Amino acid sequence: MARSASSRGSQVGRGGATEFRAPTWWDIHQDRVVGFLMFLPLVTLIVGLTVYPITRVLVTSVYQQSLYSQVAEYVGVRNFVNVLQSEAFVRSVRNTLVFTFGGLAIQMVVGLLIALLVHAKFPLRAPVRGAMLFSYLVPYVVAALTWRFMMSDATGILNYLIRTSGLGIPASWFGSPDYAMLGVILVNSWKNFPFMVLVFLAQLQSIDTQLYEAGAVDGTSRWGAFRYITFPSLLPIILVVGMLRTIWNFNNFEVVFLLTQGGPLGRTETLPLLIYRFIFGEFSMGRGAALAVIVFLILVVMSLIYWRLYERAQGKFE
Amino acid sequence: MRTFGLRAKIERLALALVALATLFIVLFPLIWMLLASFKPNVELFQRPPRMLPQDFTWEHYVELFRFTSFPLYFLNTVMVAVFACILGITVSLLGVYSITRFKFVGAKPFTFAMLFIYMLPPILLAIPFFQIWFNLGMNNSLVALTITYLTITLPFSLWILRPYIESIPRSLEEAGMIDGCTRFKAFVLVILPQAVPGVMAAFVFTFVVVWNELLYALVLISDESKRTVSLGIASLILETSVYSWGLVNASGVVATVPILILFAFVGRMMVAGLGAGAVKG
Repeated sequence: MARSASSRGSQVGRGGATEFRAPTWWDIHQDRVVGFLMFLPLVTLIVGLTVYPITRVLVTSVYQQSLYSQVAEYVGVRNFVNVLQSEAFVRSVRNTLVFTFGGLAIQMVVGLLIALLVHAKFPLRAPVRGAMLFSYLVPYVVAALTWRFMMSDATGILNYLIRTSGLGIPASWFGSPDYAMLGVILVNSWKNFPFMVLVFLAQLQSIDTQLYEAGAVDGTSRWGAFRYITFPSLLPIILVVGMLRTIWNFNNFEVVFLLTQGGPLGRTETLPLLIYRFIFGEFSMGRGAALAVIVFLILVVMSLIYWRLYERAQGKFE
Repeated sequence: MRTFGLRAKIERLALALVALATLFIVLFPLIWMLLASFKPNVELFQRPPRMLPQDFTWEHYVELFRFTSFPLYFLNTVMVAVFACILGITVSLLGVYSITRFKFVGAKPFTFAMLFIYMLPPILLAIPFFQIWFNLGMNNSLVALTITYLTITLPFSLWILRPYIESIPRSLEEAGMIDGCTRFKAFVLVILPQAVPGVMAAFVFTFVVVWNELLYALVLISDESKRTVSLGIASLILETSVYSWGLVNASGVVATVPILILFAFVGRMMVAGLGAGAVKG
């Protein structure tokens, strides 16, 4: 539609040389109109697929409604009060913090070390770099199944190694109240550390090698080069991806759901898991939505921080 | 920093060894899954476990493809992913072009909003999508799942395509428009051919993200015949109490192989795409 209309407009424009006619509104604005029409589907879909659903969660959070029922009763802030006062909420906030920042620390350190390793020159570097990212590419279900398999009682190799190591710790971590959290953090870190490698590696490659050469002339040690050249160059990006990973760890549902489903005894139940349990375990749409709204507000704050860091880092690189 | 001769050579070899050892540890869970999928059941229970299959077998793959619904899950996932990706990429291609060429009011907040969508917890959107599709009688529908996946493919392809479109010189399409092309025609004839690598990268990335997605499928699909691959595997490991680990491992391998093949195709573009939204490409 936009096409035929605009081609008519251009004919007028071209014929203008022979038979003069004042340009119409369409002649002047058609370019912008076409541009706007191209933008429209995107905006419509974004609004329909995010703004509308989020609004719906906000509305649902002040109603009491069962999962499969259309009947909703207005209850004001009661859902929020219920959620905030529940023992499960306090526990899952604590679990979420441990899961998020425990995973962040491991991913950062491992990611940085491996990025430094594959940044150095050695034979077979390119394929090693590529293969290092595999765990980031596989589905969460695959990550979960192989770790469950390795930890399983009758068949697991890790289970066997722990059992025969004489360490006296539980051999099946995901079923142990004391080790389940460590287990889900490890699997999450294994799955996601390559993201850190990618980002750090890209940043390492952008450091001016002249800096190192100057350092070498001055007799700087390797540690000194890392401390005074590499690390300061990485710092802005560390903040940015650190924030991004914080958000993604915070949001993560799959790892815990597939490995422990929040158990044992709620020891690994993070906020996304608790939302899921409220809705699909206890059929309470209202409480689930209320908790989702709380999580949403936390995320808005985290995203604003991320945006600030991102803009600042961009400014530094340009 | 320059060192020459034997010492440097030995250092490089040592580094290569360290790197390979690290790689082995990092990939061990996947290697173990692959090897286990070729072991007969007796060997899976062997103590101490052995690395390589003693009695190599394809039986788990045969079982997976002949006696389970996995071929169907495969087909479901491919269909959903292809449609969600094509639709998402088309819409964001038009939108990105428009954003980069016209100065709209609110373009910056819009960019922030797109970044923000990237950060929403999927569980937050899963709630209203469950309600919406349930109310429309479209729970258990692959069409509904496809539309829901646009929440992933749209922002993702937008982030990947943006630098590609931005880097195409404006003089190209302006030349086309002076020659009598309309804006839209210039977009189709001039911009699209230039954007092909970006579109391919966007396709691979969004396809893999959809292929790997679990939560929306879990919430929206309950019918066994409508499951996606991820949901099928999740059901295998969550619903059965006694596992046939050989079969489970084979399903994991089958879910992983298409992804690695796709990524092998995009190769170097991988880095730019995976970092999309996090750092400037």
